[in-house]
Amino acid sequence: MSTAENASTNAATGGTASGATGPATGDGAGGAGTGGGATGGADTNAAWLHPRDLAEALSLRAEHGAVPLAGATDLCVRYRGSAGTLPAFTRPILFIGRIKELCEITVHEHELRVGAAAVYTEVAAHPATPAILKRTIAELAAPQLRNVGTIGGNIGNASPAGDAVCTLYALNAEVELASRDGRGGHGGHGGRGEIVRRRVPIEDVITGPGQTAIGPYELITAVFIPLGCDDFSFYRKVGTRRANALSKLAFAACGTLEGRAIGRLSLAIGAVGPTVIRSRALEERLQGADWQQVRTLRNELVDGYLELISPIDDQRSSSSYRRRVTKNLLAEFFDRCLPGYLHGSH
Amino acid sequence: MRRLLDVLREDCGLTAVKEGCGEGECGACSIIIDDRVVDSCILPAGAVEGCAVETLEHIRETPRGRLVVDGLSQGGGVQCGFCTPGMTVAIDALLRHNRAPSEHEIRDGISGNLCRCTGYQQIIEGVQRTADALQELGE
Ligand code: FES
Ligand code: FES
Repeated sequence: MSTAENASTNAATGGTASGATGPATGDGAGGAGTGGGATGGADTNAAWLHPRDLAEALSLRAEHGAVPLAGATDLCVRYRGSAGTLPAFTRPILFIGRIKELCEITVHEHELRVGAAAVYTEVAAHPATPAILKRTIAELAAPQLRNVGTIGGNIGNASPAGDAVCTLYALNAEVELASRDGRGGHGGHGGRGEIVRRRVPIEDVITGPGQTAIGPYELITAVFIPLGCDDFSFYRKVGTRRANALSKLAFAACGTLEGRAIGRLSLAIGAVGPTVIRSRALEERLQGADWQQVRTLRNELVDGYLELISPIDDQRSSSSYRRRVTKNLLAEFFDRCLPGYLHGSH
Repeated sequence: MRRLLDVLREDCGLTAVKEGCGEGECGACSIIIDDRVVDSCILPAGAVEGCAVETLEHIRETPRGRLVVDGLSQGGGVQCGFCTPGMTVAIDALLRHNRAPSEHEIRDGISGNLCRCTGYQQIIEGVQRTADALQELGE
């Protein structure tokens, strides 16, 4: 059953308009009400599209230019009006939170496939999820947000302060984008043909603050995370309050060990530039390094990273604070964390 | 699309669901969807189609819910009471999935619920009392 409600001209005036029966039929005693097939039939200020599968979702995305929504946490806050009012969405909403394929988490060979609409709580509970991602999720937000928030949403919003995104950079994650007829952002009409998928490294998906390379007919369908790349990992979030999903700074690093030397290492720093910062060149300097070489290289590396970052002043923090904290976290990582793993004391 | 919070309060008359911040920060609007706690102020009503929705009106009538209320009220965990409805819901959800939470786990479980009065310590002790009582009850 798909429900494509027409956008009503009803201005968003605080939910006082009498609505059709809402889907949440919390009965008088507040018992577990079931929607029982009711459509999301409350008042709308923008069309609410409820596709039943991915193919239908992609068609609706192409036809209506609809904004995908799963957990709604970010979008509801972003489009929110003054206190007590419902969010004034300006484009049709494509509700993808119940599409089975988008909610699944599965293991394929050496990678984990996380459906774009899988909620953080499920991702953290999956046995194959890398430890650094579990930790990121635990520190990302309160249960209320972890229970509805999704990795797909964190990527789609492309906030430079997206904590999960920072860790996904460090894990070399790839994003799967799907469209129909292969018209992913290249003009023409969104098709009704075959579903076409492409995989893109996460750093190529997020192109700037709030900006992505996702085409107007495309949806994020999944994130692929390589497994077995985190013999060691290090994660720090600096923020005011855990329940707040945006951090002042996020720092994620992980890699493999070859004996007592570094195999591959990746290091990502979030909220200190327009996108998450990562440097392949600096990472390569550490390839094969043992603890003594790490000690020799550390000044050069710390300076290298400090040159790459361009933190700004915003409501969450000042740029000089962010610079200082980045320096401290780099020091903690190079001087304490890494040597600990390389000495085999972990 | 209306917020679930408004549908619950205005259409269903379930006014134990409170609005504090209206942006997912304070937890006053906490409810349980399919056994998990969520903020109803940032949830479009259409997103819960086909889900089990529970509010405090129901939870406080269950054996576990009653013990959560007792645990909070007996040790100073309720002061002005503003956070109490949402806090009760969040604690109930925590205890559904974890019957013997550590202090760290309790702090995490209530991290989405702001309390301006208690400093949280009395609330945490209240949860520990409830968890003990649940164990005795064999719940
Ligand atoms: S009112 Fe919903 S979190 Fe504050
Ligand atoms: S008792 Fe007053 S806010 Fe918690």
